[in-house]
Amino acid sequence: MAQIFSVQLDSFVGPIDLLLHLVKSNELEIEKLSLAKIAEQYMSCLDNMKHMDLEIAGEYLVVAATLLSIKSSVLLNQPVELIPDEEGNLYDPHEDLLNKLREAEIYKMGAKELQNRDILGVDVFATLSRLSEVGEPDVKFKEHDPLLLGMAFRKMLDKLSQEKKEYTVVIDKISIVDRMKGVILKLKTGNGFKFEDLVLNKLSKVEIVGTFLALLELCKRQVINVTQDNSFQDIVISLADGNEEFINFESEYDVKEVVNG
Amino acid sequence: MAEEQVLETVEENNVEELASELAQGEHQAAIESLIFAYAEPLSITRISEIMTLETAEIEQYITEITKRHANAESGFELVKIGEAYHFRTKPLFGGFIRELKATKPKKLSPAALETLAIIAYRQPIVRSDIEKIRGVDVSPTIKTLLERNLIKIAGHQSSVGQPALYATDEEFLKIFGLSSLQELPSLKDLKEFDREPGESQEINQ
Repeated sequence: MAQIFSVQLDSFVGPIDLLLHLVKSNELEIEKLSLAKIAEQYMSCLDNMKHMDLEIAGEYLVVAATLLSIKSSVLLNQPVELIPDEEGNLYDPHEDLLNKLREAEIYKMGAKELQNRDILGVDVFATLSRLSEVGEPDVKFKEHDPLLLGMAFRKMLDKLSQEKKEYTVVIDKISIVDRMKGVILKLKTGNGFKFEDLVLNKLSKVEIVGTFLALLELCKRQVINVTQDNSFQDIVISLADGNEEFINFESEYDVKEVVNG
Repeated sequence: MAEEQVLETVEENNVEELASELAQGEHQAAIESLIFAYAEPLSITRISEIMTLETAEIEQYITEITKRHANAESGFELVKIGEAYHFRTKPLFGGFIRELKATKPKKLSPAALETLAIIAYRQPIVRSDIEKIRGVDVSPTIKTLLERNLIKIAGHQSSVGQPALYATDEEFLKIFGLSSLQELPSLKDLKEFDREPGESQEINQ
């Protein structure tokens, strides 16, 4: 019987997944009788795993024990022995396993449904909106969440590590004020730049961080405009009209030079 | 020499006046043009604000627009996404449109969809609970789902370490073309299952 079910063991992500597959491939319902029937197949799968030198995780063995207990209770027509959980409440381990299977089945159905849907950008397409340029967009801005900035920053750092695997550790100082001035000079030469364009040396973390802080400082002083047409599109940075001449070039991130004497 | 003015602002609309000038039957077309131009799902509330029409009336027009695009002569259809409407091409033509694209689109693997389904059903849910169900490390999946705005952090569980609680984000309905979460199978059946004891679902914003 075991040979028929030469299941691809590594395609299962846990005992429940394997068990659900066995129930389904035997065209059985999720009920005690079915589990009693497939207990043997489950055991032989575990045996196969041993042959393949796969380390059998404890959770597979817990399910195996429950299956055997179900099998004997079905065969001998014995009542289930209730066992206490962490908080001391008694529960039926057989029902518990069945519930886990039923729950897993629903998630599987849900995933199937998602898979069968026509996915925007893959199966169905919409035009790209440019309206945010002229009007108040209908999409609510995401609630402010430091995580978003962090994610953008992370992306940049990821890119950095892709570009260069070797590092030379140089402790170089960078002045935020200098970067602010540098960014403004660069912005004057054109009409909108991406963040990457503004970083002088893309391989230097200090440069990236420094430029990022400089942009935040410039944002605060309302010298630059930061726009994005759509999620995932590039963020475009451009000079706001006029007042860059009058801003106060100072940053709390710059260490003030201490003059002796 | 003085420079000539190159750009000037378009005059302000008086939308109410514009709406009152519309002839019978043009309201429906106007709504259609709004949804088309906006390109993102456009909410009934927003349409009602712009067109100065009651929502019930707009819903009626929308039913007619939907009907008009349902026939084989139209290449796109009106789809309800949450409480908003979105024009998208019909699935039948997806293969042709993909030819237009420089890069082939990537979609989520069945495993990632299963994790996403669990989040959709059980939201808000912490990572360890997803992993208890899935039996694998889901951190890379969660990272991708967050990046694609399919899920968001909806708060933090008030337990040791304050783990993040994940829930589906607006993009979820949009990407999968769902009018609500209820469209997923047997959501109701699932509610009958007991939550695990001691599982706190308190959201700590």
